[in-house]
Amino acid sequence: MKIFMHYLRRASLDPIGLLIFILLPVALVFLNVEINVATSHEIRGQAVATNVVLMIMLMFQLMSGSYISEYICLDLKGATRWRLLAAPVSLNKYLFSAMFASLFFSLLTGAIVLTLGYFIYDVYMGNIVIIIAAMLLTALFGQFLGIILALLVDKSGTCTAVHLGISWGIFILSGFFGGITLPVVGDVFTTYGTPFSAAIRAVMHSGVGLAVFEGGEFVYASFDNADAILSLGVLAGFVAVTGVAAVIIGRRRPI
Amino acid sequence: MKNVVKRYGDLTALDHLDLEINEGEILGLLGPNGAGKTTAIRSLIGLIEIDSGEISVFGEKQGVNNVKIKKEMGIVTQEITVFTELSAGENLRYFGALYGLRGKELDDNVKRVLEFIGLTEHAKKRPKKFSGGMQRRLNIGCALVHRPRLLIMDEPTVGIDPQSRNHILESVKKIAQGGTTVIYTTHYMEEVQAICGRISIMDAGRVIADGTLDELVGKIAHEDTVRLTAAAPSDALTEEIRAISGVKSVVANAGEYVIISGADSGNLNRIMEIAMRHGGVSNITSDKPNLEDVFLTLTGKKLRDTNEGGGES
Ligand SMILES: Nc1ncnc2c1ncn2[C@@H]1O[C@H](COP(=O)(O)OP(=O)(O)OP(=O)(O)O)[C@@H](O)[C@H]1O
Ligand SMILES: [Mg+2]
Repeated sequence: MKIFMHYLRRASLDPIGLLIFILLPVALVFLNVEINVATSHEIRGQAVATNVVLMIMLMFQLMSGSYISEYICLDLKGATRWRLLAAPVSLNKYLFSAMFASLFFSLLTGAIVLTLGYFIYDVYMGNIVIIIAAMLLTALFGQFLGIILALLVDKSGTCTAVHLGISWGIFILSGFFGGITLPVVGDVFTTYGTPFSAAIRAVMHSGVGLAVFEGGEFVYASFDNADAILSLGVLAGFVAVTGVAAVIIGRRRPI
Repeated sequence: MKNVVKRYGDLTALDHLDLEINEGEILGLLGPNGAGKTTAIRSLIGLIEIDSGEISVFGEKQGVNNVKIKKEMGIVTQEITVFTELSAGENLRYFGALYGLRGKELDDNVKRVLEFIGLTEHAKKRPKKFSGGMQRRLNIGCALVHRPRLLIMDEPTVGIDPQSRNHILESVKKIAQGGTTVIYTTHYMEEVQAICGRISIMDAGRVIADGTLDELVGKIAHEDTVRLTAAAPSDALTEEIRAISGVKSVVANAGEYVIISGADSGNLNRIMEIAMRHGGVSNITSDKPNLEDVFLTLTGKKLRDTNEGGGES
C-alpha cells in the first residue's frame, strides 16, 4: 500500500503527465464537441458528445499505460534498482504497486472525462456497467503493453514514444479516421480485431451508439447486449494475451 | 564471503574472493575501477546470484532474497539514487517505510536522520535544488532510517568538495561508534586511512592484501618510495632505473616517476645520477611508503589514473 501510494504521489507530482493525461483529454472533449456541434446540420449535440466523450475516454486508457513503462525504466532498471531491491521488498511488489498506481491514474482520467461529459454534455451512458468494464479492460491492456515495452526497451522516452506509436497504430487500424477494409482480413480490425475497436463496439452496442433521432428527441431503442458482451469477451482476450506475453517476456528477459 | 566467484560472460568479476567483516568495525574496501567492489557488495546483499562460493551474514547463509538479512542491512549506492520529485523528508520516509517502519517510529527516525545529515532545514526541499554534497548526504541518509546493523557504502563521496567529504567521513565514524558495522568502498587512500580500522585491497576480483593500515604499510616498510619528476622522461630512463639492483617497481606517468626500492640501499643517489644524465630532475623526494605505495607495489598499478598519458611501465 505504501509503495502504491508512493507511485500515485509521484504521478501526481509530474506536471507534464498531469497535463497530458488529465488536462489534454478534457480539452479535447470540449474542442471536439464544440466543433462538431457547430458544424453539424442537425442539432445532434448529445449524440456527438456521447461519441466524442467515450472515444476520447477509451483512447486515453490505452495511451496512459505509458506511465508504467516510465516507472519501470526509472526505478527498476538503472542504479535505483539496487537500492530498491536491497530493501526487503520483492521486485514483483514494486512492479504491481507501480502498475496499480498507473492503472488508478488511468481510470481517474476516464472517470473525469465521463463525469464532465455526463454533467456538461448530458452524455448518454447506455449500460454503465459495460462502459466501465470496457474502460477497465482497455486500461489493463495499456498497462500490459507498457510493461512489455519496458522489458524490451531500456530508455523510458523511447518506451513512451513506441507506446504512443502503437496506440495510434491501433486507432488507425480500428477505423478511427474512417473505416478501412483490408484485403483478406476485411473489416476485422474495425469491428473486433483490435482492443480499441472491440472496446468501442462493446460500448456502442450497450446502447450508446444505437440512438435514433425520433420526434425531436433521442430514442435509444435497440440494445444489443449480446454483441456488447461478445466484444467485451474479445477485449478480455486481448488483455489476457498481452498479460501472458508480459509474463513470458519477463521470464525470458528479466528486468 | 568465501571463495566467491561471479562471472559476467567471459569476464570474471569476482575471482575466488575472500572477504571477512567483523561486527562493529569499519572495513575499507579499496580498489581501482573495475576491481569488483560493487559486484562484491551486490553479492553480499543478495542482489545477484553468484556462480560459486559461500556468503554468510550475521551467521546466516546469504542467498538471493533473504529478506531477514536484507532488513538489517543498509546500502548507500555509488550513484545518487533518491527520487528527485520528492522532498528530502519524503525520500527518507519512503525508504524507512520500505524497511517496515511505521507511525511514530518512522517519524522519529526520519527526524533523527535529517539532523544527522544536517538537512533538517531543507527537509521540505527537493533534492534537485541541492548541492552535490547535500545530495550525497541525503543518499547516505536514506540508508540510515531503519538503523541497519551493517551499513554498506559504495563510494559515497564521489565528486564532492573536500568540506562535504570531511563531513561525510566524520559521519561514518559516528555511525560506527553507534555500533553499526560499516563496509566503506572507495578508491581514495586518504579516506580509508582516515576512518577504517581494517582495509582489504581488491584488484581484478580478488583481495590481494588485507589488514590494518600499519600491517599493510609494514609489509613494505623495508622499502623506500622515491618520487621524481624528470625533465626529459624517456623509456631509456625508465629502463635504466629499473635495472638498478634493489629497485622493485617503477611507475612512470607523464614525467612523474614513482620508484619503490629497498630501504637504505643508496639507490637514491644512483637514481639521481641516472636521471641527471637523462636531461635532469625538476623535483625528487624520498619517503617511507604509504598505502598508495602498498597498492603500487602489489599490483604495479596506480589506484587512480591521474591522467591518461604514461600509465604503467
Ligand atoms: N552487469 C554486468 N554485466 C557485465 N559486466 C559487468 C556487470 N557488472 C559489472 N561488470 C564488470 O565487472 C567488473 C567489476 O565491476 P564492478 O562494478 O564490481 O567494479 P568496481 O570495483 O565497483 O569499479 P568502480 O570503482 O568503477 O565502481 C568490471 O569489469 C565490470 O565491467
Ligand atoms: Mg563500483
